[in-house]
Amino acid sequence: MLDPRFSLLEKKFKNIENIVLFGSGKGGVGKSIISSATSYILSERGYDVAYIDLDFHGPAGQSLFPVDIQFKGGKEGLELPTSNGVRVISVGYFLGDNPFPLSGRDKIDLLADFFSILSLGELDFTIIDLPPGMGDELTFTQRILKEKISIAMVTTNSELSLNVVERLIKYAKTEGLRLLGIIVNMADLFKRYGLKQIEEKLQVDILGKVSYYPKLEEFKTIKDKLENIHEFRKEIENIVGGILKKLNY
Amino acid sequence: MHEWSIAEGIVTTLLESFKGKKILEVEIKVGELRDLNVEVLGEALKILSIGTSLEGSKFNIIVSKAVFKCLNCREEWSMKKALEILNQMLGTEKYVVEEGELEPPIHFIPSLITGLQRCPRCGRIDIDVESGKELEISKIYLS
Ligand SMILES: Nc1ncnc2c1ncn2[C@@H]1O[C@H](COP(=O)(O)OP(=O)(O)OP(=O)(O)O)[C@@H](O)[C@H]1O
Ligand SMILES: [Mg+2]
Ligand SMILES: [Zn+2]
Repeated sequence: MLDPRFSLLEKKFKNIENIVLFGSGKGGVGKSIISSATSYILSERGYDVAYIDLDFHGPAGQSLFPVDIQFKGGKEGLELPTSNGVRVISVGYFLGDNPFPLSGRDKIDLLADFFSILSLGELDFTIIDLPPGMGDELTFTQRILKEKISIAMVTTNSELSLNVVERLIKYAKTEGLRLLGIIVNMADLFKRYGLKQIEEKLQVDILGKVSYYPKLEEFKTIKDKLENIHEFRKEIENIVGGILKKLNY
Repeated sequence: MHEWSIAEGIVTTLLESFKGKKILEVEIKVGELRDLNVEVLGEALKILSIGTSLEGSKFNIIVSKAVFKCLNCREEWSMKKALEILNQMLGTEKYVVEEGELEPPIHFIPSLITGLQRCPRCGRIDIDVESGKELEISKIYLS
């Protein structure tokens, strides 16, 4: 039995390079905030950027990148609308506030539907916001996009989060998944280790750090968060610099 | 319209998987949930085959009815009911414009419907789509 979606999918991503996944071992460590902020800053620098939210159960795209126009479908599939300069897609735009349960098999089916329907156009960078862990979202994406992808891992500076991300790093190394480095979020909060120590402990480069900003919660969209919290913006710009360097820009 | 893109996926898959072989007949299973126009799909397959080794092959498209099933109480329901449930949950503001017409998001991403069903009898959230999601090249007859 052959599934025609895979050849569609291959064609859609044929000319798309620089796909960066944001993953983590644990949940709630800041993947969505940091990946959306990275997308925003990249687009501000003049690049064509897509932000793809693959967290089907806890989507964040619809809040961080609000879209108030109607979605459009065309010959090439579902068009990604632009929000604050970034082309965005998330199931969150379609779900309202309904809980959205899926079994494993249904999730793989949704992933195949989702990737094969996107009308991507031309892009310099595609940022993928993953749910935590090593589930189908990661393995499927890896299976279909292969060497086009690389991963940035987000962790907090806590023993627990660092231990779990270590597992993910091991996964990346054994699975041949290109690891750009790690981002330490809320670096000043748990302060288990210094950044150098983390680098040595995990044997990976640190792309940058983000401090803890209680004010982040006061703003809903990523644009407002970045434009109102200067220090946060500076740290993200640093991370973007690190990512660009890793990708030879 | 997205029949054309699906047809392209089918033709490419066949040409790549059966290089140098002559395919007489292809059976394609399409679930009701895919919301595809079978005539348009058939036409698209024919046209896209022209000039390839698939030219003249017979395309047999089989549509399977959607059956939703509650894993808790075993209630079963149809596509029509499922769309009613979906509309109750989402309303129509999440619709997508395609060629001037409004389509529910499942027109593009059929698998979304699975997570947006609640059992009409017991209200449970854990349901299964027994059939109706298929999109596959199910049989091939070579010469
Ligand atoms: N540096 C920070 N300072 C203050 N709050 C933060 C910081 N980073 C993230 N947060 C907050 O922590 C929460 C979780 O962040 P976020 O949603 O980005 O994490 P996540 O890793 O994407 O979570 P999930 O695993 O659920 O997808 C959010 O409410 C976010 O605003
Ligand atoms: Mg998230
Ligand atoms: Zn039931």
